[in-house]
Order: sequence, then C-alpha cells, then structure tokens
Amino acid sequence: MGGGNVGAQVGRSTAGELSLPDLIPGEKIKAEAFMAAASKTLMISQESEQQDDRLGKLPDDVLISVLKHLSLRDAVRSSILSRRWRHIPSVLPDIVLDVESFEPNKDDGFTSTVSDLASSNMALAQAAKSVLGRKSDRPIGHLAVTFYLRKESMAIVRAVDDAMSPAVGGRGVVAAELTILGEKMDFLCNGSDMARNGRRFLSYFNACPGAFAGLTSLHVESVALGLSDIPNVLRTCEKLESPSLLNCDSGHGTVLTLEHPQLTDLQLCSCNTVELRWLPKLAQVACSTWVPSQDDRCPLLFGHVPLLRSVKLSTAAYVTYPVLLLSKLLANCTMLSELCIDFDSHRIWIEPEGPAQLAPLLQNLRIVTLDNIFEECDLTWTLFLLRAAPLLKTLQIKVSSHECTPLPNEMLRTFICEKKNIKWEPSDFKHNHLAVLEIHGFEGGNKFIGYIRRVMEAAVNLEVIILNDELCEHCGFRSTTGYPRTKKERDLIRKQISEGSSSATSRDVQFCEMSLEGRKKIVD
Amino acid sequence: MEVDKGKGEAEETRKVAEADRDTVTLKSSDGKLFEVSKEAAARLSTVLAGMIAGGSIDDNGTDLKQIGSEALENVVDYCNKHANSIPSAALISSSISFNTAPFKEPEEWERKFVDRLSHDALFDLVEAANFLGMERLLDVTCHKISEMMKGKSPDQIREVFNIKNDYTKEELEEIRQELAWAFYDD
Repeated sequence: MGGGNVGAQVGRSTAGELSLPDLIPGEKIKAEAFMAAASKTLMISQESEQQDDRLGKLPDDVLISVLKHLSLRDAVRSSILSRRWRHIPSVLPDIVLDVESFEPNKDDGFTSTVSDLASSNMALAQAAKSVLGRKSDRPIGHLAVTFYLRKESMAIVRAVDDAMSPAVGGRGVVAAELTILGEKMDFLCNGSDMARNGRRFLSYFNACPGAFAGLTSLHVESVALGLSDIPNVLRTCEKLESPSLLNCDSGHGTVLTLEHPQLTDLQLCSCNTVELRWLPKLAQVACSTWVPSQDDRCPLLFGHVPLLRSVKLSTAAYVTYPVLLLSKLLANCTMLSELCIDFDSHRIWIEPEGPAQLAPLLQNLRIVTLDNIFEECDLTWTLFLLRAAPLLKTLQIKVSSHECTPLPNEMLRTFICEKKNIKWEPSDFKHNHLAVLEIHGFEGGNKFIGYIRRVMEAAVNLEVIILNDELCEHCGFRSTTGYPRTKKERDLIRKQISEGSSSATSRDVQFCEMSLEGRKKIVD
Repeated sequence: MEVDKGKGEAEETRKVAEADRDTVTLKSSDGKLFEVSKEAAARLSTVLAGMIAGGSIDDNGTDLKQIGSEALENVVDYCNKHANSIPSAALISSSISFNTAPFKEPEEWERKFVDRLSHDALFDLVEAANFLGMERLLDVTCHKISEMMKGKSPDQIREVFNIKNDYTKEELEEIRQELAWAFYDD
C-alpha cells in the first residue's frame, strides 16, 4: 500500500485517536508528512460529520442483487430504510410468496388446524395484493406463489392475473409459477373431496383464465376434473412447460390423457395411468407412487414424445402393484438416454429381462440410476440393464440401509410388499462403452466387491469406480459402519478390487464422502 | 494454461514484454499495475472478455480509472483463486435433476475471501465487480451484504450501513400501512 492511501484511510476513521501503526501497517512515512495529511483529512471528515452510505450509492440493479438473497418479506421491508429505497418493492424482479412463511406458528404440517391454514392463506392473499398491485415499468422476471386451494385464494389468483396484464396496469410477468396445495394430505382425500377441489380449481380458472394462460409452471393436488375439462385447461395454459400433478384424476380407473405443444418437464405423483399422447417438446418425466390400474396398464403410456430423454420412476412396492416389465413400459420409447428408478428401500418392483426384448428400446440409453435398493438385496440383477443397453456410459446405484420417509399412515405399511431378494445372473457378455460405475452407500465386504468385479469383468473399458458413503439428502442419515474411512481400509478395498481384474489395465478407484449440501468430496 | 502467474506483484513482471502473452496487465486509478491470467479474466469478467476480444488491451497496462489499487488487487486475487479451484470434471455428477438452483452458495474460500474485507473494501469490490461485469464476484459480494442485513431491524440496518432516515413521520406511517403484511410483527 502506498503513501497515497493515507488520506483515504484517515477519512474512513471518524474516531479522534489516530495512531500511526494502525493506519499504515508496514510502511515508513515521515511523521510530519503523516500528521499533515491526517489533520487535513480529519478536518474534512469532521465537516461531513457522518460516514458514507455506500449501500445507498449503488445502482438499483446491485441493490436488487443484494435483496435477492433475502426473503421477499425482508426485501420489501427495505423500503422503509430511506427515500432511496422507497421504490424498491416495485422493481424487485423475483417475487416468491409461499403460504408456509405466513403460518402463525410453524409446525410439522400434520397438526395444523384448518383455521391456521385459513389465516395464513388470508395473510398471503393480502401480501399478494399489496406486492403485485404495485406499478412499475420493470416486469416481474419470476413470480412464484404457493397457496391453499381454498375459497379466499380467488383473491390471490386475481392479483396474479392483474400483475400479468399490462393493460390493467400490471408489471407483466416473464415466468410464472403457481403451486396450489390441497387442504388435506392427498392420501386422506376421498372422492367428494377431490370433486370439490376440482370445482374450486375450475372456479379460479373460469374467473381468471389470463392468470393460467401466462403460467410456465403449475402444481395441483387432489383435484378431480371432468374428462372434457382437461383438454380445455391445457389449451388455455398455453405457455405451460412444467406441470406437476399430485393425486389428480378424472374418476377412478380413468386414463389422464395429455396433449400440449409446450410441455417439457412433467411430474406425476399418486396419479392413475397417464397417457403422454402428443407432447412434442417433452424432455423429462418423473412419476412416483402411481395408482395401479385394474387392467394391468403401465403407469405411463408413451405416445408422440420425440424429444423425451429422461424418465424417472420412484415408488415403494405396494401389494396391489403388478411387477413391471421395462420392455412393456418403454415399448414406444426408443430415444431415452437417462433412466432413473427409485425403490424407496423396499422390494424391487421391476423384473430383470433378457436383451432380446429390451435392447431395441434401450439402444440410446447413456445413464442408468438405480436408487434406494434395500440393504439386504443382491446387486447382480442390475446387470440386465447393462447387458441390454450397449451405449451405456454411467451406471449409478445407491444402496440404502434406512427408510427415511416415515409412512404417513401406519395402515399404509400393510399395503407394502415384503422385501424379497432377487437372484438373477446374466450369461457372459462384454460391454464396450461403460466408463463410470458409481456406488452410493458402499460398504466393504463380499457383496460389493463381488459386484464391482462382476461389472469390471463385463465392462472392458471401465475407467473409474466411484465409491461414496451413504448420506441421505432428505433426512441427513449417514451410515457409520462399513464405509472405509481410513487410508488403510481404502487401500485394502483397492487391492481387493484389482485382484479380481483379469485385464492388465487398472481402473481408477475414487472414494468420496458426501456433504449435506449434496456436494461430493473426493477423500482418496 | 498458466493460471498461476498473475499474483498482483506487477512491478517485477511488468518488464516482461512478450508479444503473445497469456496474461493481461491492468492499471488501477492510482497507477498501480496488476497482472492476471487472460483466460481467467475473460471467463470471469464480461467487460475484460470484450476488451480482450476487441483487442483493446494495452500491454503496458489497461487503464481502469474507476478502480482503486486495493479493489483491483482483490479483483486479481479473486481471479487467481477462482482459476485454482475449478472443480474437476469427475466431480460433476450427471444424475437426473429436475430442479436447478439459480444461485450457487459461496464456496468456503469465497466466503473467507469476502469475510476478511473491511466495510469500505467490500463496497469498493462490489463497485469494481459491477463495473467489470463479474457476475459471480458480484453475486458473492452482494450475498455478503445481504448477510449483514439478515435478521436486523430497519434501525439496525441503518446503523450498519450509515443510512440516514430522511422520511417524515407521516411517510413512515404510510409505508407501514401500504406494506402492512411485511411489518406485522414490528
């Protein structure tokens, strides 16, 4: 630091006692020169009395970058700091309003009474009107509102509708998301609850079609709509890209048929069979805990989905589920590059198949993820996917020694299949493309070492084996036994793995520990 | 890639004048020179990327009249640290993810980097990052400022940032009513 900075440093300090070493550490400056500079700046700083308001001097865009890290409520409150901040609530580009943050006292969601829901929902309606009703020439970049499917929420949908229409003085919205929560948990809803929810949803829809026309993302829960209402809703939601449906249907045993030019991501949970009849832009679909059909239909029926790349299926196996054959499920779906199947630490509900039926369907598959295989289960069966997918590059499996989602209802537990081991051995085969084998929940011992050796035997070009410990991203559970934590243990595992390799090339073995933020750290 | 070169100690390296260098020299408002890897500068700063692409980089020191030497030293330091901490490709897992976070939390070194700054140095760096179009550095410094605001009352925030309350009593009342939902527990 040069002597030229002395003035600036003195100016910053309003305190009377200035000591030379504090001001210019490590620098030698003549005392007279220093005193002259100091007294001069002291006079100036005494004149201006106060320190600078550096924050207020930043341009609006930078203030917005600061406020985006705060909750909307805190960001809006900044308006009271000084006149400089008066207009800030009107120019915030991200508006996220979540009914949960309006709850009178936060609880676990199971014990809250309906009146609590009502009061937080009404508080949210107030906030929505206040913050969305502000005029400004800056459009809202991202609007996300989460509220309950209740009568008074009409006011929220109206506020969203107004914000979207510059014609009535709204700011305009680039991307809008509505998350409409059911008042009751989905598995507690009976047919008449769902019908009532359906009527409520349609009342919003009919009163404010403009709000729905501008949506890019929509989540609804426990809503039953008439068969003719669905195409109508989809047609109006013309910008919709990411719908998420939880427990929605049009009556027991019906198939929900989807046709839409813009949908790219689809999430389904606890729905009947869904037919993806004409979704030309659909890229990924996730489907969990479906309602099995009586006539043995698959949870998803694939129609015209030329861009579909990724399918994720996750559920525990319920006693009413037939065993699923991938060759039947994916019958129309040859472009798939990512397949993820999550067993929720319960029985394996797909059946290994030979390559004859499966290989034509998996010809483009690059990544397979098998999540939450229960701890006691054998692993060799997973090779049927490697066998049938010649271009597979990455095989990820996760073995889970705990159940993290507690079943919401003890009664549901009786509907879950007992765990049963799968014994399945592929005939000898070679695979040329597999480069990465990644195991989460790895433990030392014959089961894993044997499995890794078996994969290495088939996958002649395997480059890296990544072994992670078990850390559950949902509940934070970390397995304390079995994972090699010391250098000595890790070297032993490496030795055991390479002993099984017949080829001369040694594969890179990495040990990684996961952090709760989902970050992976290579430890060795 | 020689990312290790620019260490801010420009006095010695200045004399090295090669025709095809992989570093650029930047000159602060008070005339100090700093050297930084061209690759990192172009990747982290849209303004420097534009200048490098447009050939308006001066080998004897590109003038950045808006940035003081202390802030520029921090900018260069940040570029070097960033270049050295790129996560390896093997770390980027390719599992199916349906939600992508728009803002990545500051890494530990980024947190340390901004935590050691004085109040004024932090704001100098915010201004420099904004001027140079350094999105990530601006994000990390703004995140730091937001943490200084979090959980504080308006009065406490005014004190931290020396904000003068220039509202009249009536105006304050009006704002509180307008935004009653945000002030219900005050």
